[in-house]
This record gives sequence, C-alpha cells and structure tokens, in this order.
Amino acid sequence: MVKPKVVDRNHPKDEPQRASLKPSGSRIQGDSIFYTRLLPVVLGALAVMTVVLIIVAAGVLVGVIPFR
Amino acid sequence: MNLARILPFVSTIVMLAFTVSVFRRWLERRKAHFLFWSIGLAMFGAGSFAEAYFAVAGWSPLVFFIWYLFGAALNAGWIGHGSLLLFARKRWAHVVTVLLIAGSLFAGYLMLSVMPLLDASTFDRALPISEQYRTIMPSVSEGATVRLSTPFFNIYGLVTLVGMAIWSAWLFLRKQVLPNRVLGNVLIATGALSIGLASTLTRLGVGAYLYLGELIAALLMYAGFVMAGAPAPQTEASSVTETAAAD
Repeated sequence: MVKPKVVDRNHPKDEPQRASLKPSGSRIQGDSIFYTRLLPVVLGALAVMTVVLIIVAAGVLVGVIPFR
Repeated sequence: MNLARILPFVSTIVMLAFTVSVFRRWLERRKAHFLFWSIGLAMFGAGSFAEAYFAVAGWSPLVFFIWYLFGAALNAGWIGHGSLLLFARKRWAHVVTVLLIAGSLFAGYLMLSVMPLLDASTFDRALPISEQYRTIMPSVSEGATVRLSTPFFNIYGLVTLVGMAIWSAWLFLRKQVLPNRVLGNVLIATGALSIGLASTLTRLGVGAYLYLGELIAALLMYAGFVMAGAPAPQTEASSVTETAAAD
C-alpha cells in the first residue's frame, strides 16, 4: 500500500533531502561579497548585540543595573 | 495626533496580519512551533493594542493587565520557545514547554495580585504607557514581584529567538544554500533585537523609543518570516507531496 508522505522543505530537519533537488536559484554565489563578507560581519554584530543585551538583562536581574 | 498614538496602531495592524499568517501555517501543517509563534505574536499584538487603547481611550486596569503581562512580560518567551521547538530534542522541548506554561501562569497570578496596588491617579494619556508605568505600578519591594519575572522571559526569548535565527542563517550561509532563508533569518534576528534594545532602554528609564522599536520589530520579523518561507524557484516550493512505501 502506498500512502502520501508530506515533506516540509522549509523545516531544517528536511534540509538534507533538499540537496539533490536544489535548483541553481537556491544557491548562494560563492564569489558574492554580500554573502561571503558582509553577512558574516552582520551576523557577528547581531550576535554581539544579543550577548550585550543578555548581559544587561542579567545585570538587571541580579541588581547590578538599577531596576526601574 | 502624535506619533505615540499612531505607532501602536500601525504595530497592532502589522502584528495582526503576521499572527494570522503564522496561525494559518499552523492550521496547514500542525507543527507546534507555528502554534507557539502565533500565540507569542498574538501577545505582542495585544500589547501594541493596549498601548493604542491608552493613547485614545485613557486608563483601564484590564488593559494595563494585558499590556504588562502579555506585552512586557510573556510574548518574547513564547515566540522564542517556538524557535526552540525547531531545534531541541522532543523530551527537552516538552520539559521547557511545561516550565514556560507554568511560569506564565505564575506570572499571571503575580500580575493579578498586584492589580489592587496600582495607582493610576498620575496617568496621563498624552504620554506613552512605557514612560509612566513605573509610577502606576509599585516597586518590587512594595509588592510588584511580577516585575522580577520579566527579565527571565525576555532573556529566554532573546536567546532562543535571536540565537536560533542567527544560528539558522549561519548554517545556510555556510552551506551556501537558500539565500532567502539567510536574509529572512537576519531580518528576524534584527527585528527581535530592535524590540530587545527598546525594551532594555525602557527598563533603564528611557521609554520613548519603545513604540518605534515595536513597529520596527513587527515589520522586520514579518518580512523575515515571509522571506524565509517564500518558495524558491522551481522545485523549492514550501511543501511537496512525495510517495513513500508503507506496510
């Protein structure tokens, strides 16, 4: 008996199955400055901001930063 | 009508559309992360609506309850929990889900207990509620222990929502696939950080940028969600049906 199986291609779990179906439009150009230089810097900056905000929030939590 | 009155209205409309999109996605796919995202986004929208209500209609204890509990305390945690469910092992996810629900109920109880202590005599509807809630609500030592719960939910939401978005973007970038996912996750992380930054400023006594931060967050996260979920060319559609042998 054959029954349909839904594959969610937007889910990270199903990511490996996507590799064999990948069209050229879904690939990042390896020589793109935007993707190879700019975005890693942006992601790093976002991560740093996240850590700073977590430290500030933790500071509020433990009372180092005045709670208002 | 000044910006403090307009921004929450616009944020509410954006969040309503965003919530409906995510909830419809949950109805289609029945994945738990879509449900938690839509609940968290609905809380975010309720908070924005409460701000708009204060600016137009004036003081209401019920609306203040909604604004603080859902808009200031819980929404980030619930949205972030949706992101966690995408990656965490089921057993751990269930444990954290129970903790989140229990913590939210407890925060609701603490909020209920502080309601009789509110002093709205100084409320001014010309000012954003984020700039005057400290005078309406007593301090922690005077009984508003619910205020201690907000950093827990917000740190959890920030770590999970922004952390998972940055992590996803980095994975796709490293594999050099799906640029729409990379950009979509960058937009989600940036949007979440903008509200995190505005909330932190509010916590430090500068509440003037909260509404702007909310609107930026709503717009960027919605754009990121749409971009990340957009079908890519050819067979990269969001869902396909395959046949698999069973039995």
